[in-house]
Amino acid sequence: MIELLNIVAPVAMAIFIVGVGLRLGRFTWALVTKRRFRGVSPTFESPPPRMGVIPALYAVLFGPFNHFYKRANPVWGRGYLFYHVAIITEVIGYTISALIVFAHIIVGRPVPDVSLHLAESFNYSPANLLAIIFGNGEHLQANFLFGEFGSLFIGVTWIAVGFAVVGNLHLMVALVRKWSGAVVGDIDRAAQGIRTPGRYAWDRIVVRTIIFCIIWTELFARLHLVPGIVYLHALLGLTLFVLLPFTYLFHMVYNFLAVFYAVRRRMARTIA
Amino acid sequence: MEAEMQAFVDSLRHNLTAEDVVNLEACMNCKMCGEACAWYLVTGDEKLHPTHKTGLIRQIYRRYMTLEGQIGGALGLVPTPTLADLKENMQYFWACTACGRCTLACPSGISIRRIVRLARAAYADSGLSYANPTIRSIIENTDRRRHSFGLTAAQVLGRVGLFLRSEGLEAPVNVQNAEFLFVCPAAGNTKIPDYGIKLIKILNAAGVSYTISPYVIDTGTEIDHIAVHHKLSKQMLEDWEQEADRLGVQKILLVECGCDTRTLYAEASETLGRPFRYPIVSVDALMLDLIKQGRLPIEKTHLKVTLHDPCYATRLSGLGDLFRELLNLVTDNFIEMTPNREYNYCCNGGAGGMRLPENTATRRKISVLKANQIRATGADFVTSPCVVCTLSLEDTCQTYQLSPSGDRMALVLFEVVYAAMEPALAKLGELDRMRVPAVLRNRDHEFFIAHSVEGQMMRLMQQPDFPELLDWLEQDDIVKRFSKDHPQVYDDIRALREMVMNCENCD
Repeated sequence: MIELLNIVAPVAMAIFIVGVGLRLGRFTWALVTKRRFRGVSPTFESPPPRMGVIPALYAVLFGPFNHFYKRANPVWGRGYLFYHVAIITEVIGYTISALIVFAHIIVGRPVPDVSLHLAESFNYSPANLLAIIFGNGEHLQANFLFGEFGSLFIGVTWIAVGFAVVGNLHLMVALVRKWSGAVVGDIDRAAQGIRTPGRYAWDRIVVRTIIFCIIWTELFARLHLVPGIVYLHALLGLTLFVLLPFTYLFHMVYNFLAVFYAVRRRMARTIA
Repeated sequence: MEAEMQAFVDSLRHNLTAEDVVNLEACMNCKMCGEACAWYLVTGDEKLHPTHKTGLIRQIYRRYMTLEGQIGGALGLVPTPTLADLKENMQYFWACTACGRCTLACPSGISIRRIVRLARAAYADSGLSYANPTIRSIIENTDRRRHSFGLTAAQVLGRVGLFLRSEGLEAPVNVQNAEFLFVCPAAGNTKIPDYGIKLIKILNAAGVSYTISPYVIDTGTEIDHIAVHHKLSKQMLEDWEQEADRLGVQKILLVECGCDTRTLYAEASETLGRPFRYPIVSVDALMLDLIKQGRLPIEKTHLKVTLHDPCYATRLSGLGDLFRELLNLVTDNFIEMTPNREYNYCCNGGAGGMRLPENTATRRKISVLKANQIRATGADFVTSPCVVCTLSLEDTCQTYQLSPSGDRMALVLFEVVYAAMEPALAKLGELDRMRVPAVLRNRDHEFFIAHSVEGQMMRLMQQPDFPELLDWLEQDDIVKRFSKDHPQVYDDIRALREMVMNCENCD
């Protein structure tokens, strides 16, 4: 597994970087070349008051759940909410961990060796680095990464794992029962009794299954139930990295921009 | 690639902004936007789902506008949308009111509405939308006559003049240096000019300094929102500004039209590439100010009324609070419908929903949601600060028999204001205030004839085609509707005809 990771990791990261570069490059290119005057007309008298950034952000992030998913598709809605709380926490954790690890490498300081359970080593192999980053919820790695805050980090990420387990189970159920994108409950009184079918999309099934496995390998790694499973966890994580630019997963990157624009429109009261 | 396909792609490429790239790239095809779309919810038709429309544009974008798409397409690994696909799917881009409600259900807040507008613009730029007779007529009428329904200035002014004459009213035309330029959207002066004279009465009663243009008779609503023909839309906005320059007005009066509101609130900046040059005042904001200043006397009506928020004015321009403030001032029996404000269901009439006859059956079917909303309020009337919404709501009320008597149930918001104003004026003994506009008061006869609708009518009578205009008025459905309360209107037409014949005999 370690050897495999050492071979796969650079390739996966190259694909990831090229893919992300291509897709984000299009936005950057448009941003540079498509500059034109836009926005609310400054000559519009008595315009509606601008919405504050916090209410606008809340409306964009929680409006869909509060006004639609909660009633129309509660299983998917809860899953969406729980899972995203988890995944955002986890991704932030992984990002911080990666930055810390690379900072250590840049200044030539030792890092733990996960396979040998050593607190200090100069094992800068991809497999080891991935095991540190993706295994940041384990004591050895957490203590190296966060020092005295290691326990706090583990505690926080345990909550995230809990959310991930619950959220992902909801989403899996929704997917398997063909409730993805479906209306299975009354949206409101006006739309009482309206039901629409969901779908069974292969890309969702594949990605969701990978994520399902990632969550459980994380859980097993934290509980020390299967030795070395952190490497499988890292390999699955890498798989997602490879898939990210070419599947719906890319919303993880573009959503920040989409939310930015959505919030800006909300603040201006234009919404769409 | 076929020429039309190339033109379609070129149009997308030209109009795409960085924000649109995000709208296309960030969609994860989760289909949750369907939970907000009335067209999809009621029909269950996948082709009416927002993602069906955006999916096609996304495919074209990916295939022709991305490096991996061009490589993958050449290798046959990426689907290549064809001209046949564009033609086949064109109808679905207009089986949508671009109301923006789907954005509210999108977990990323993507503007699907913008993608629909991009597509409509590309259909126009490639000439493909000309295959639809209604869209073609909107484009051609706007291009040739500057009126999307193809009416001439003579027809618009002649009909309004006839109605004003029947009620003994006047409106100012071509007056220099008035405060406001009042341009009515084509839907207003084509479909509800008889209701529209109540707005003239309000403006007259409040002493508002305004003028009507004898040349600019449309605001470009339909070319901007139905055809999405940016070049013509720009020309319409520039015509509007140039007419304001010529007349020396200070401001533009934005009448109760949702699409116009959105255009002047946001879209105009993008279309013109700069801000619209004149201050824009919503007539609802003006009426609110006039009431607060005491210039417009009102006595609250007891009408049991509910408010339909026009998508384009509330969801897409944020004016929901203004409408409620105004409504609460003029009625003591306002009932909110649920959902409301930006979450309100669309009336399904705007941006082509009602204008395209092929949508009628579906539109009526999906309006069950709106009917349910209205019915749940128990209101006797539903009002909306939008011409097209009101027309669509009336159609819904009749389709679902919400008005037990079959009487008119949908009112434009200014009609509710009028219902509060008239008794107040009657109580004050000042009903005459409605008759003559401020800019025509205490003027000499020459000025009055030069700048009144009556004077315009006299000029029309001297035109050789005036008898044809009278023929048209006699056949007109709106005149017929007006005659129910004003049976003398046909006598007026006959009198005008006799006057013309007498003049000819004199010659």
